[in-house]
Amino acid sequence: MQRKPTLLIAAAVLAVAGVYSASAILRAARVLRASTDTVEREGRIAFSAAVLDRQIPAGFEAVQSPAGFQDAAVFGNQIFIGGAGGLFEYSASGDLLRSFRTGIELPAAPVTALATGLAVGSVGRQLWIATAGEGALVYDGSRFRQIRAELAGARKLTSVLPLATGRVLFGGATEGVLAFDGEHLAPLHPSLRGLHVTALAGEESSLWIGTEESGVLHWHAGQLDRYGEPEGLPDPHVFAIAVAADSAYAATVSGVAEIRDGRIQRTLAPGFTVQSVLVHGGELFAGTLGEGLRRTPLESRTKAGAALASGCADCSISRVLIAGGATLALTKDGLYRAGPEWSALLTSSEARLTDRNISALAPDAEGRVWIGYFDRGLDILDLNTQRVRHIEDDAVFCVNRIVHDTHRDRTAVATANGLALFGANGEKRQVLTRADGLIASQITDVLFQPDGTMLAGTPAGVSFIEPARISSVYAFHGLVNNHVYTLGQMGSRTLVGTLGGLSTLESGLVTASYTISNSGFKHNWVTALQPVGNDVFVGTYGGGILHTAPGGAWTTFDGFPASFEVNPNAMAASSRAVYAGTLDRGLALYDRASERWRWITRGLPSLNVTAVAIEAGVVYIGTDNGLVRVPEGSLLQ
Amino acid sequence: MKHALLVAFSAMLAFGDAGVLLPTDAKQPDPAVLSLEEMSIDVVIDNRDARVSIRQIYANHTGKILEGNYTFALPSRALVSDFAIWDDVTRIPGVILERKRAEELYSDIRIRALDPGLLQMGERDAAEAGRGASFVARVAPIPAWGTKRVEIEYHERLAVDQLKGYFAIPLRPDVYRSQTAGKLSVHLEFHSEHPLQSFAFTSKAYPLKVDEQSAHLVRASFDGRSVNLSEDLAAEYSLVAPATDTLAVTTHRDANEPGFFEAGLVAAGHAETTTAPRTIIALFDTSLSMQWEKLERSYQALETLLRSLKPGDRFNLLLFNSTVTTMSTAPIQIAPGAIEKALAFVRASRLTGGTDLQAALDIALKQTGPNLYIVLLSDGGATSGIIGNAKLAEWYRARCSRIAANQRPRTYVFAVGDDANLPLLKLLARANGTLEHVRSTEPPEFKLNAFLSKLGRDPVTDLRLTASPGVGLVYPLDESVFPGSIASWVGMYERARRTTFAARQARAVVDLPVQSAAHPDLPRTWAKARVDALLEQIERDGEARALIDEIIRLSRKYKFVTPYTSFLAAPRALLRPRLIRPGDPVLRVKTDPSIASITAVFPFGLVKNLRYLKPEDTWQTRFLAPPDMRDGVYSVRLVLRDREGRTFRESKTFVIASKPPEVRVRLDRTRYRAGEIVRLKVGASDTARTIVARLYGAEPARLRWNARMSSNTGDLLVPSYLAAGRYKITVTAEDFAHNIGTGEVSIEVVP
Repeated sequence: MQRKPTLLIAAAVLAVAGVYSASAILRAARVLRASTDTVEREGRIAFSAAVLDRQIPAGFEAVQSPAGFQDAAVFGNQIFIGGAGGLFEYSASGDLLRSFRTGIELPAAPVTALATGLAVGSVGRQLWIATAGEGALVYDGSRFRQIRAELAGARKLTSVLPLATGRVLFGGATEGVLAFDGEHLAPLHPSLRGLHVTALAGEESSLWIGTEESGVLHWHAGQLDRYGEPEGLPDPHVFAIAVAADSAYAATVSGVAEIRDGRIQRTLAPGFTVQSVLVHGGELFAGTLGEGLRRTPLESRTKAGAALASGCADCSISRVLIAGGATLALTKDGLYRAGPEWSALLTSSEARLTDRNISALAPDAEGRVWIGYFDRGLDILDLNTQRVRHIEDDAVFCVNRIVHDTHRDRTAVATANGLALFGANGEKRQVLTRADGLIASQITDVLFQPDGTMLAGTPAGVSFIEPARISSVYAFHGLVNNHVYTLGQMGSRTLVGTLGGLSTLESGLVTASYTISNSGFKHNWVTALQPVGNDVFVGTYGGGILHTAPGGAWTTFDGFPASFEVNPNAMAASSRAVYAGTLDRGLALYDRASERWRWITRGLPSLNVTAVAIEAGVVYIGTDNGLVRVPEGSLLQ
Repeated sequence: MKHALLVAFSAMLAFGDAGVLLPTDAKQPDPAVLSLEEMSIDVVIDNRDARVSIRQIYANHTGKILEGNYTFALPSRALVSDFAIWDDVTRIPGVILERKRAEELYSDIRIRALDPGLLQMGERDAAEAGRGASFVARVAPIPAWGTKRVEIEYHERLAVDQLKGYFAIPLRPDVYRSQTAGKLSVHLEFHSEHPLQSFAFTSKAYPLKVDEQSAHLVRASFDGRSVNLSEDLAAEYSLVAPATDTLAVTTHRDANEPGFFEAGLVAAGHAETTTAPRTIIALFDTSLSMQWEKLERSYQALETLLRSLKPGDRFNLLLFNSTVTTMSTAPIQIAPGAIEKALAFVRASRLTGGTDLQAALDIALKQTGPNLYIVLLSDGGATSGIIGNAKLAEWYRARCSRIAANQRPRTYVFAVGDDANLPLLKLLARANGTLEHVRSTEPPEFKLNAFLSKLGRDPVTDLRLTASPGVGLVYPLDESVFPGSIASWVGMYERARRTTFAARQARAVVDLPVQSAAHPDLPRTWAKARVDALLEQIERDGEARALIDEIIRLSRKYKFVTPYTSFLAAPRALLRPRLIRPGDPVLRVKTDPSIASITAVFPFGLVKNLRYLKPEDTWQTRFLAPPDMRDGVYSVRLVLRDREGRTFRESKTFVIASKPPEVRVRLDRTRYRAGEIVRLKVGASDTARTIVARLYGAEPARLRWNARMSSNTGDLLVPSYLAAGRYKITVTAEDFAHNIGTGEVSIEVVP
């Protein structure tokens, strides 16, 4: 009797899959050029080049996060600003003209660098956009083309430099300097492979390369010169390089090195962590990390300090540029004129959330969503009024998990600095730490038991928080590993997911432990637990998702990959589906009716899904690059 | 915790073997990079004071200037008395300074971009306490293709129990694989006022040649090349059993200084343990402060204690933290099942914050039984009930005195941890008992056996040294003395004259000299005893400036660290790691107050400013480690800026440890009879710090790296009473970050 509906559903799924496949084929037909010429010649990197034609998936709504500006460039008559949130086009007067959002209109990877140039085969200047994971984008004013390497490392770009010859250089986080000539993508030179490049400047005949730990490299006339600490570089970590006249200026963690005539002449803005640098009008402008824009006159040939250029003494300046004759400084949320008066040319549109990097989500029955951040505390977003209350202090800072106790009108916020307890109105009542008897102050997960006992998972074991006392157990008491990532409850059994396997507790005593050596476990590192009816889904970090088969043995799901990472506590379930946030594959969705898994990637601002929650038929999906919400029905269509 | 969950910070300096210099980014000694070219060890044992001087020369075989961490695992009774690093031809010694002054200097040296180190007592968190048994110093620079000379000297007070003594220099590899010394020379000189019956080296790796041996002197030496430091340099000796109490007095006096003497009494008497049934009330501390190594060592002590009990003995077990839980209402008969039940009782307990030691002692005193012993296994950190040391000790003394003398229990204290409250535990043990102390990381076996051997034996009573005519301040060096042990006193004198010393039945007539170069370490021994007495006075009566000034003066003059002084090591040597906690994807840095900002430069391109957390007085940031980063040791660079705008840079290492240690257990067979030994060979990840094998009913076996077998090896004794059947041997390996890996293997016990 049960077979018919199952078959019907399966047929529907197949039909949907068929439509989806046809759509994919049509999209594929629009690919301008695809290189499947895999590395016939040594060093070449296979890539695809395709026009971006991203259809916005139905139902996805991004909850507005800070733009996270990273780089800016003038293209045409407009100012383009890129960052974690995507690419934003502004008029010269600072009006937002168009937005291209990460994961929606653009691929799900933050924009890291922008540059304009005339590439081989193009009819006019183009805007070149580097991304952290999705290769490069080229924008001609009307459409985007994506240059996407097959090699994942070659898609992690940090910098871009169009050359006068028409070639475009990319700086990579792992693959060094790559050259693109419209036909081929390849390392510029074997000696520049494998570097973590942070900055590119200059031209083909005299190329300056900033690196993450190896200082500055100067590639000229087939020769490679290195400038590191022994040569006088203030620090081997280089953020940016500017070239002016016969000198190069390398911005580092400890000031700006002026390089001329094959040696480091002096350090400017010494002691400042300089992220961006510009030479203009006989002055050096240094955009610092948290200490504003500093300026130093260059005429003096001696060591020079750095005065505050103007305004915002504690701003972090990621880019300094000239536009319309003005010196502009880019911060995370705005572009400022750095003249005698510090004034905003533009600021990002009003963000509702405090940060983009979500680490925990917990909608409540009052129409509020509690949003925990990786290192920016907590927002309580009232969906009715759209107001946000931000909480950030020395305890509520690095949030790991938020759990509501609906029976007792309290909310527990697990953080790296203690367990913060909030009342129904969102007022912080108490912060428990090791000083109060917890086995560690860093809390990874919280579980409320029916009797009111609260369990706190920590890297040192589990603490039981009862009204009268706090007690703890760890490996000494039989726990399979001290490092607890996740907690779950199945009837009278408490499940404890750890780095070394899964333990079950009853009445506080360890009754069983499961590892790869004694059970069907495929991976020991348990990061998320989700009871689903009589079953329990176990998310692991590297071994996909397990569940209990009939008979109680642990097993994987047929036909579903078994080698991906589920982020800690990034699982949720409704009566219709189970969701799991993964490190780099987006959201895994298990349709309980069809008993099949599928992946949700489109519409997400990042494929690193760090938190999932469901309330009133809406799925909240937190990533390391923003938050979206979508009706569950849309996901299950 | 998202994304970065796989990162575990760990001070790689945490546990150490004797004299290992590792490049900061290395996990194990690699002679291709840094080799131990020469090592010389000079040991002078003057009765019970052993002075060990070690000089090591390391060679850098690379073209890079290296920085390294020098780790020396100190024996538990040892106190560092000197440390120096040579910079080319210049010897840069460490100095003892008043704590406040040391901190000022430390800041000053930092400002001058040098890298000093500071060694202090107390004020350490649990993680640091766990590292306390190791002396750690940063050594830099180690010149390219050059050498670096490091010197360390320490004093250790040797225990003599049942007329037997044991001495060891911990050269055996523990965390690190063994080193090979290109050239090793050892010189040992042992002077004993009491006649020696035997003396033998127990270590085989260093076959010392005995150049001279008599009843009062042993001289031995060893010179070797390419010597693998695979085991401790150890010796055992025994004293001639005296028919009557014997007293020996040694003296030392420098010109224009007061003189010092040490009197040692060997108490005659039967050393045998009584056969009368005993009643043991074990008090086991399960408070949160016992977490990690202290709990493991206490548990090991408890298990050894229970397994050492004999038929007829009775015991009860009291677990205490903020409350007290008793295993049974009254002591029960010892039996294998009862022992396993007691151990399971401990494992089923939970740790709780707070320690009501008074309540635990009170309940223990209500237990009754013949030949009653209260055995306290604790760090002594009372937090509820009476918490003042002097008050709690006085309460306990008064409470004991209310019990009839023939039913009054003896109080044996096994103190664990570098932060153990020894002043209190010492006072408690004065209730006709004894105190033994093991540090958090030291192997406890020897001391544990000595401690347990005293159960059932009566301490020597009426121990008092008299001198006629009178001398200056005299201090006992031993809290309790059992037959076959030596009771020692150290004292000062002003007037050189013939003096008669007496203790119990023994008497010695000595001409206290005007000047004598013999026994040169006596002044230091006296000073340390004097400082201990002053600290006890402060504990009892509160701080007084005069007392503190004297402690500081003696500490500086005789070079030992006290709660009021610090050892400021050579510039460029870092002795105390910054606060970094294991198992945490959060970087925490503790600095002096002058620092206004810190930027962390991570090795994967991330640059973040740290945030200052006022309540914890700590800088903190959280970071994401890319998922493709392999497990290993990495450095994060810190750029610190002070309020004057000056910047300083430091590197910290952290460990990415995404996997617990892997364990592979191998047996040569799987069928055993009761009473046979299971020889275990266990392969484990090189991150494993401790490996322990357990079998139901058997004493756990701690496995050690065996270079010859290229494996970790150890033996498990199948208990003689174990019934036939299948049993599981569980082997657990634990790494720096307290990650546990487990391997299991089944054996069949056949009739």
